[in-house]
Amino acid sequence: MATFEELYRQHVQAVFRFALSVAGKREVAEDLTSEAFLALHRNLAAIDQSQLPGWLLTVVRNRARDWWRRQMVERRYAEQFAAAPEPEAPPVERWLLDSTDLKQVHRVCLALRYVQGMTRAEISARTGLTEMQVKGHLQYGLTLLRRAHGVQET
Amino acid sequence: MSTDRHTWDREERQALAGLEDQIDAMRRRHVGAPPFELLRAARADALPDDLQTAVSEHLAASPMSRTLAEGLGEDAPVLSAEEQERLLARIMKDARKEAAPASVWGWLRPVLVGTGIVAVASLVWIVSKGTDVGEPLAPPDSQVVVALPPAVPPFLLPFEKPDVRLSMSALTWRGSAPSATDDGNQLLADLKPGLDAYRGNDYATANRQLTALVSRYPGTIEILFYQGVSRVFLNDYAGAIAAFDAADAVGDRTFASDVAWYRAVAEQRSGNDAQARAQLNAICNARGSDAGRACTALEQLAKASANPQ
Repeated sequence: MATFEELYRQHVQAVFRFALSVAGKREVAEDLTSEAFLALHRNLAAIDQSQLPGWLLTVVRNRARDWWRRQMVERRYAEQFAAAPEPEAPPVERWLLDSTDLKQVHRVCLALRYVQGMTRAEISARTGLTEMQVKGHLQYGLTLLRRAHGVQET
Repeated sequence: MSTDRHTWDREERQALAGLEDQIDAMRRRHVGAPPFELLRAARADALPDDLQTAVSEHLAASPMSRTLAEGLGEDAPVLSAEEQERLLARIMKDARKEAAPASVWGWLRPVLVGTGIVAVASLVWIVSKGTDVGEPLAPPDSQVVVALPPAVPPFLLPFEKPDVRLSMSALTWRGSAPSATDDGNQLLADLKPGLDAYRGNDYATANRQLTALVSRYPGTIEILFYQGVSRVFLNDYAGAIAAFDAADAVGDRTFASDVAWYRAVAEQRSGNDAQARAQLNAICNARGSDAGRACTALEQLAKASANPQ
């Protein structure tokens, strides 16, 4: 049976990534990760270790729901979001969604910048990437976009 | 959070020269979409129910939002070694704090016992005087109960989402539905919304869409199978078993092993181990491609029931 510290080292990255994906903020993700491992510490003797990291991810998911519930109260998120957009997408959008040259990270950075209208700093805050990384991914994406749409390199 | 083309830097203006109208059109199409962090959380089913439903419905209809919801993939950031150590130190500190009250219990005991005696005496006095103690306190509006996962059963059959595939009979379907499409395959057109929702992890919509098709296309294996799997994801095990029963009755050999496996998953999660074993036995004995994992699962179930933890 592994010790708590061994389990921590084995699973912390997976738990943190999941926490970041459900909370969208690095500091909240760290809190959720910390709470999940604290719960593990508390229940270590009773837990079947073969069920990790699933058990930890479930703790994160439950705590994230709690966190979002509080956000809903504080920010009063609208519960009605826009329905599906009109079927006719411009070629740039079709390229953004379908291009096999783009990695998922490029697609997301481009969409956050040119669809959701975020600044590089906002993209950095919401993805956990550094601003330099965001800038690099956007530059690479724009280069591919230019090529795909026949715009001359300058 | 509003960036339009007037805020682009020189490099962006250069790169997007001639494409500005398309970028504007793309942005307009997605005004009112949920923010990125909500899309990501909804994909992991980590939102409170109402919000989860609203965002899931949007996700099922918007490929752009589904792309965002997938996140950064392999490029998602991780904790640095230093951050890992800092977080571990914080967890251990919190764990010690939790343990601390036990050591001060001895000091607190006389105080608590004394307080208890006073409280009991007050209660006796109130009851004897017939005093109205008022309405019980209402629970606070924002009270939230955070559940830990239940005690984990010793062995749980793996439940992985099966990809969408179509049987030959669906691909070559030539029904006589009045609204048949040009190529004659109205079944595929009708299946699309339900299967798209399933692909997008929106199991409530998938279940609803597929259920609506059952009477129109009786005996179509895809409808019954993905309806059953969606219900397992929704924790509706009885509903899932009913769908798998109906799928089994269709007798389509392409899906037979999958139907049995997911039926076993639903049976086990609803507490019916004997039925789960019966399904696994059938797969194990059939010696098909799934036989190995079914036989192994049977062994693990047997071990688990011999050594309950």
